[in-house]
Amino acid sequence: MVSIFIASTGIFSERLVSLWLGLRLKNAGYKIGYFKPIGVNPVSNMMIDDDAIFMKKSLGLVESVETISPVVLTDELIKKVLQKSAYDFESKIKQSFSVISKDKDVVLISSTGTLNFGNIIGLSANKIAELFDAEVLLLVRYKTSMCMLSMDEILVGKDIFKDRLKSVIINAVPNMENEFLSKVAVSYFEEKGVPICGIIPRDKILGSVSVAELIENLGGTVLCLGDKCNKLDELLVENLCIGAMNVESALKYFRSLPNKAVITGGDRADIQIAALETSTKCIILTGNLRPSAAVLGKATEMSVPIIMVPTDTLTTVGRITKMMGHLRLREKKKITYACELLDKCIDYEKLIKLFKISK
Amino acid sequence: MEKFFNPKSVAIIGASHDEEKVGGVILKNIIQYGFKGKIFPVNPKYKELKKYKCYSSISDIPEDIDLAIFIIPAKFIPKILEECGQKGVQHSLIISAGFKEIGPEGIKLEQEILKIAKSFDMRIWGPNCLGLIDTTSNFNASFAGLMPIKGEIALISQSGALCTAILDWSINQGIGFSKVISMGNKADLNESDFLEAVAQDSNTKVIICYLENVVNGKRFIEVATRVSKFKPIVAIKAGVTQAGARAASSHTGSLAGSRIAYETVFKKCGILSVNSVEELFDIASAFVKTPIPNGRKIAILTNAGGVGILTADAIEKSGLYLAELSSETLESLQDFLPPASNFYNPVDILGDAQSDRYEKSLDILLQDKNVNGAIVCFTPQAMSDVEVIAQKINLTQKKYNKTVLGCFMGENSVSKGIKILRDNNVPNYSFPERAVNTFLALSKRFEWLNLPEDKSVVFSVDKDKVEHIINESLSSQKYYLGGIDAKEIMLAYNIKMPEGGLAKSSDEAVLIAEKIGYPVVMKIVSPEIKHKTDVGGVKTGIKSADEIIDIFDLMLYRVKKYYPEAEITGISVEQQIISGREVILGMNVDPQFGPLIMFGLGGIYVEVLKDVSFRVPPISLRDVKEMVAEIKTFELLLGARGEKLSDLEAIYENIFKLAQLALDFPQIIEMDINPLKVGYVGKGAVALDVRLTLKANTR
Repeated sequence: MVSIFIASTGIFSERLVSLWLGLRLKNAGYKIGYFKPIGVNPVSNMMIDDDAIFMKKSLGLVESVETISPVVLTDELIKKVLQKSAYDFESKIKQSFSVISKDKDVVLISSTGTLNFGNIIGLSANKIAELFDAEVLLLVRYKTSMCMLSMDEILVGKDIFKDRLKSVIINAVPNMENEFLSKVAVSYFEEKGVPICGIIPRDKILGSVSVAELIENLGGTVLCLGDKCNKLDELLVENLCIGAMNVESALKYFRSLPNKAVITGGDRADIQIAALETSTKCIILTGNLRPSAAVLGKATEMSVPIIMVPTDTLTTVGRITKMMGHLRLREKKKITYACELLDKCIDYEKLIKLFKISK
Repeated sequence: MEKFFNPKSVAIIGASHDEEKVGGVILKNIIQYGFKGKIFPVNPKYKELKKYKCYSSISDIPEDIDLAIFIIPAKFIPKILEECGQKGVQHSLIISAGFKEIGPEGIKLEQEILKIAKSFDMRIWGPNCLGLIDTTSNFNASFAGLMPIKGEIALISQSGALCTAILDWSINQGIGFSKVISMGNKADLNESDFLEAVAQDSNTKVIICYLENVVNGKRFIEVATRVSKFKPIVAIKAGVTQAGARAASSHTGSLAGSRIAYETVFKKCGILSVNSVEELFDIASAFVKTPIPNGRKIAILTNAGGVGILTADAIEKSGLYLAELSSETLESLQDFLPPASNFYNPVDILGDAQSDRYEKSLDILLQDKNVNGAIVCFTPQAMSDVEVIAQKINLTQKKYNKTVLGCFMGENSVSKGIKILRDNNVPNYSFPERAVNTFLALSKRFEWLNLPEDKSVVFSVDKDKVEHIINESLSSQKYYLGGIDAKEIMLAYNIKMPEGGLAKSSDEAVLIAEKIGYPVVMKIVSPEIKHKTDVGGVKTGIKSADEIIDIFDLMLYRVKKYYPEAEITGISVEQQIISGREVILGMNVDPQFGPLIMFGLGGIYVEVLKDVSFRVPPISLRDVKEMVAEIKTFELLLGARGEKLSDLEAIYENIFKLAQLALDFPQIIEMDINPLKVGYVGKGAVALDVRLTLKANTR
């Protein structure tokens, strides 16, 4: 059995890479396990990490979600740890792991957050890797403004995991740098004993948010959907525009941004119609101001949802910005797209060899 | 369309005996104003209405029906429309509201009735309209409270309520109509159809339109251009200001369209554009009554010096001219006018002028070949015989058949004179500015009708290459093209660009510079950065490899700092073009009319002064020359203060190529060549920076 610890230098793409790798291995006939020893995103009704539920469903895992996600670290829990309450997290996760790893060819162990995360309960990334004798696949996000920081992080990963670090995937790489990284940086790190098996380009769709999620998170009222809007989770918003300018400028601005959500006031019929003339996935009206009947009619005709929210523009934009840019993998359309992208950018065969995966 | 305006038989679905209801008013209006066709009220509630047998359904009517009028609640219309279709009715006027204007449910209903109409090859007028009035067939199928005076103006209006107000006002003004058309939601028939219809109407001399939007811009341009060749069209476009546009969008659910687009289109089609309803009728009345002048030279005849001066001011401000009177005219005037008169234009015949002085002076002025028309001003004096003066003016106008506009100022004591003018061939205006503005409109009509034959120029281009670049970009969801893609497109259309290339590293940048030679310009290339200079993304006058290496690094550093999320394609290195004047060429697709070509002087002239001109392609050589000469700063291109003349031919050529590109590829919705560096005569022009936006799928 091979344990692969998918570590990350920030909360970026562990879910995506775990899912992709899990599916690839599963399709290749391997028996797969997935383990999220420490979670941080409990779902609404139980203390189980969101990733555990998602991966159980996506990979068709038989183990219970409680087993897949044995510990969820919350602020309250950390306070209790600081108050010296007795917890034995290590035994708990070991116990779960023994269940998950039984009869498996490969177990994917997903990290949470940065490499330092979990120190407070004595379960840093490195400690987890050691605990399960896992080899490490490190995910590093390319930093646009100071690319050397990303390079440093690769070497920091090597210092921490030493020989357990088997490979690195660099994510969110701008197109302009892709060629250089592939040609020059890969061989540089290869010489340092850190093989790079994938360079994932920066991608708007990966950072998008679905209209369904927007509706859920903004607490808005949906005023119209149109006939073709029964698949709101497939309407992916890649750009965000605020419509506060004159209509001619708005049209120019809207034309340059495809697949967008437009945020404006209910009284700005001109902006709303300009949005409908261009590639728009939804219109968000702030301050609970209703649009005119004619605009609603047109939006319905074009199948563009209009959502009315009680918050002001600044607050609404703040909320959406928080949602966008983070890789949120939930919608089927996005998952299919993401997996196809990773097929192209990650050298699967190289991974198999590096981690010595066999049946 | 004839069956709408003059049906032989009409079914009134929803007719009522209650004259406070629309169904009652329409029935009354159709009967009362002398409609000669057969009338079939339809309403299951009645056996008889106003002595006409009332049918419980359309299918019960034993005869063929030319026109069905609907005044029933919207939700019942589809079923009855279907019955009409089965009965063979080909024309339906839907007065009822409750369609597109009420929102999503109404849209569904509107689409449903359109589908039904299409399946029976039926045309739909409305819905949600006041109806129609034809004063020739005496057919008043509207719920207006009156019948207008018979006249030669056809009114096409997107607002029903405005029609009723205009009709009410027109009676006292003595303004008559041939047809009154309330278009409603324009679900099927729209402004282009109505323009075609009234163009063929021999009782219509002038067409006036109130428009909030246009359904099919391209067809509108084609139809309006054709129609205005033989009938003047005067139009007011509502929703041209920001506030107005917002209100129009809220009302119609479509973009109001920019003022510039409408003005450009109206000009191209020969439509006279006005800014107020008053102006609409000022001009329309003139077209009905008086011939158009064959030039811009006006004689002013007045009995008050001050009014003459005001009129002269208005003439010069408007771009018309005060006619320079011939020596014969001056001599004739001097022969009989009192010495205190002013014989020169404006001709002041003094406050005590009676009809004979008006008649003789106007006679002399209209004989003058330098005079294309006259504005006759009159202010009431105790001794004036206003009615005789008006009669003499009319007679003199008839004698020479030249344009004469009255400006009888005042109210009480001039009203009889005004009526005499109005009942004949001289429209009157209460103040000089209105008369001058009307004269200007008439002159423009003359000029438009007499435009000389013009030619267009087509260049040999590589369309396949552009097609390929566009398809590739669209398939990779790349909608904003700058850098290499934009350059390739320009070169395919033989628009010159500086030599150079795209560098992804400083080493590549040096190689390019060494090949093309120094000095070079370096520019950041990113689809997300539109104002490169603002973020330090442009550097000119680079003379060495060392400079290139430093600038490459610093430029990337700065741009990444300001736009950390921007996708950077690379840095372009191009030959520096030093001499010449910077102009801007642009193209922007108007949602209603399609591409608009823009020209202006670059830099602050376009950004601060908005000194630009527009045309709708296809454009002719005259269009191109006019649009270049139209900008306020044109003289700079001619070489102000001893500078040499710019290569205007090169500008014309590039505008043509841009227009050709815009027409060849509707996928391009915006283009900017900014700047186009234009050399002196014979030196050509080079596009230094180009960007294009492609249309993204709206779904």
